[in-house]
Amino acid sequence: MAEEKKSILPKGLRDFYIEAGETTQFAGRFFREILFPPYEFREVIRQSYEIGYKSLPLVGITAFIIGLVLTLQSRPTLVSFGAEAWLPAMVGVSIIREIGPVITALICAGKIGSSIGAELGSMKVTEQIDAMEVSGTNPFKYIVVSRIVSTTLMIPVLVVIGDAISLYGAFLAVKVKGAVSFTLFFHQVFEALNFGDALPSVIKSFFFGFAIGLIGCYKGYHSKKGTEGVGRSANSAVVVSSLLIFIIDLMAVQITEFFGLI
Amino acid sequence: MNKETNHRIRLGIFVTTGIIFLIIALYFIGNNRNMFGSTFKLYSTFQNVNGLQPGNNVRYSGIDVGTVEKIEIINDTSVHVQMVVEEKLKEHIRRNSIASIGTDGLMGNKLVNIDPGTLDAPLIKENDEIPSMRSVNTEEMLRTLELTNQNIAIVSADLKDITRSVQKSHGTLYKVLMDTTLAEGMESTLNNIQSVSKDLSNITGELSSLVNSVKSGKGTVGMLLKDTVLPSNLQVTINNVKLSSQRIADLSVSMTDMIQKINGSKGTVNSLLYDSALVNNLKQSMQNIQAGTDNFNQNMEALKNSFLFRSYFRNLEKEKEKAAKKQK
Amino acid sequence: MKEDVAYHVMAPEQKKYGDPIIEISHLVKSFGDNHVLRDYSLTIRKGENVVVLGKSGCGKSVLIKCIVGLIPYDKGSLKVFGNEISEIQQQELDELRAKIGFVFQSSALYDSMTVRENLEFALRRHGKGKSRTEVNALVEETLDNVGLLHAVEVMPAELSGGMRKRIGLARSLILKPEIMLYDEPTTGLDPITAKEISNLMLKMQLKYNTSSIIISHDMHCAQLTANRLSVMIDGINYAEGTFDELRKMNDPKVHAFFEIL
Repeated sequence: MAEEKKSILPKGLRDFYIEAGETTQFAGRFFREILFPPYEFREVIRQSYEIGYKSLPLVGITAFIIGLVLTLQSRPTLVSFGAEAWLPAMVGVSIIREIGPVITALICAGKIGSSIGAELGSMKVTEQIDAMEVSGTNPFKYIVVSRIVSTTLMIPVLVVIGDAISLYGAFLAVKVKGAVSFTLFFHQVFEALNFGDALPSVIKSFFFGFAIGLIGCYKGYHSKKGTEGVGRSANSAVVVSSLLIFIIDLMAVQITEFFGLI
Repeated sequence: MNKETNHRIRLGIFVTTGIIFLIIALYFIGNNRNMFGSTFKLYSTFQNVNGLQPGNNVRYSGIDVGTVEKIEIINDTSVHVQMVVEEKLKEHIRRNSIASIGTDGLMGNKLVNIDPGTLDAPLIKENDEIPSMRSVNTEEMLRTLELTNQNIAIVSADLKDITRSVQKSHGTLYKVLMDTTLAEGMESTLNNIQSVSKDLSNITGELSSLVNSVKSGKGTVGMLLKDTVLPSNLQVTINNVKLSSQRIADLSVSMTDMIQKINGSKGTVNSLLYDSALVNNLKQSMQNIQAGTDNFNQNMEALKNSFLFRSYFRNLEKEKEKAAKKQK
Repeated sequence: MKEDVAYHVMAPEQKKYGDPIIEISHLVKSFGDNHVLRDYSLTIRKGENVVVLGKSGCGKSVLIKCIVGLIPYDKGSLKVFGNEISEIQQQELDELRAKIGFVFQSSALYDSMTVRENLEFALRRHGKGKSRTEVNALVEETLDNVGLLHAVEVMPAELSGGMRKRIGLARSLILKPEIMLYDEPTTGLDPITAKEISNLMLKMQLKYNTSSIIISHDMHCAQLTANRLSVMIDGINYAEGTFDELRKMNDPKVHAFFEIL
């Protein structure tokens, strides 16, 4: 609670910088806390179940539909080029490289980010975080670190499973329109892929997960008093983490390009 | 506790599934890149690899058998390509198998094609080098096509210029090509020439009879002309006149021929090309005519100057005047 | 204002109790321009129940949060068992906190855990080495003390306000603390439930032999539980004394608290 000073920056921009700085500090604290024991393994597993396993139905359905729709939508264009045979390759590359990770991360930002923001916000408001601290448990470790670790580890798993479901959806869409065997479809998909497509997309999923966890926890942990503060935490957690996902995605493209993986 | 165990089992299944999917995907991708399974190295040197990259496929008789591992520039005319090929291909690729750079489809990735060699050549071994063949690629083809296109563009532009300048200049060529009245005029000119030459032949006929009478020494004229120099000179003159008229006759024949051709043709590129030659001919012919008439003029002048024929020519002029008066 | 500090000091009363275990002297805490604690001093002796009276938002909660180290104070001294809170390490602070039970205003039960897990939570850190049966026995014993043994597997969301308070009390008692800090224990409860809770607090104080600071503006609760009262006005210990002593005081600011009775 710093002294209110007249600032040359407009209020919105000032708030943005304050929040950016605080989020960085928050991330820094996460890395400090994660290094030293005690480690809250049980809580990490519990959160992983809540975050990872429980998001699977939503991610799975979304991924399946995206795979199906993407294939059906791309088909006419490729057909007009006479390049229908490229459909599996094209859809496979788009799903693995971009659509799978980003859609999964956005879905999770909506589902997990908001729930973390709201949960931590209400924990803050109802003094549960204080209660934890008083009872000798480091609430940052127990609540924040475990959640960020869980999102960081679970989003990539969700992305991989989502990709697989999405590809299956794409396969069904191709199969509906023309005879293609499962083997041929996946052969063509993997023929078009290389490590430069698969690995960066998995690696960036870790960052997506980290961003979702970090922003959700930050927003919840710094929630304003009152129920309105809880709602606002949940809302801004989703907005900021979604935005951050796109920024990370943009950076990932540039980095992979820099390393010549495109 | 029971619930928690249940959750842990589900989480375990979830995470394991994810990892298995990832491993399967990486395995298949790796398999395509020949990262697993036994392989051997093969080299070939190309002059131009046309954008081949490490990771591109290597095909043997159209089957994917390996990938390009490394591409190095040795010097400015040769690029060394290292390929990783499946072990079993050792039984098929021969020393005289030929590697060439190709494209997968019209716009697909570059790849190395290995064509089977002949059976008499020995099989290859690890790290062997096989000969390469420069293949026509689409890019090069397109490049040549483009060059051709450019040339055609230049030629047609030139043609356009020529026709335009021909049209604009309204020079003789244009007139020759376009003006039928001119052609008619020319025809009439030639007719005139023809008639002139007829006249000429008449004159020469008269001249020769005159000369004959002179030779036979009739009258004072014959006396005077007994001197041998003069007749021979006269003979030369007359021969010249004859020659000139002969030439004019020839010319007029060829001229009529040409003009008929001009009239017949109607200005296509071919006829234009043909006609330019014709125009040259025409020009030359005109020059010849000029030269011929010049000679003729000279001869006539010489005749006029010769006092012997003065009176004859005076009579001729008088008759002409009379004729003119009569016409009036 | 400084001369107003420690308006009445009850010297004879103090002898009934043991050594001072919480010594607060000249404590200052401000949030920006909001000076919550200006110069607060209070001493709690062993076995003593002290009620801190004050209007809402005057900084009573801040005071007890300073005691457990949840909020760092700006100036002054705060000693718990002789340890200056602002100077001790995290490790020592955690050990100290194990001796302090804190009952939060909103009960602060962990929503995602059952009542049993809520109670066990404190044992994670401080009850290491206890077997499963020992833990179970301890949980059941504590719940039995607050009369809610039947609610052991219930989620906090299913409990009423009064029950939540009891569970909150049980949770802070499970480590058998020497000091109990109550943040508005009867706020938001109907008078009957509030009285039940006050009685329960008193009962627990006798059973576990604790010293307590009770933050409240509920005079019935104060009357029932307090050995001594401190009236906090404008961030200072405006008046101090037993319930009856303060009731008899002529100071209008102090008298205002007793008008509602």
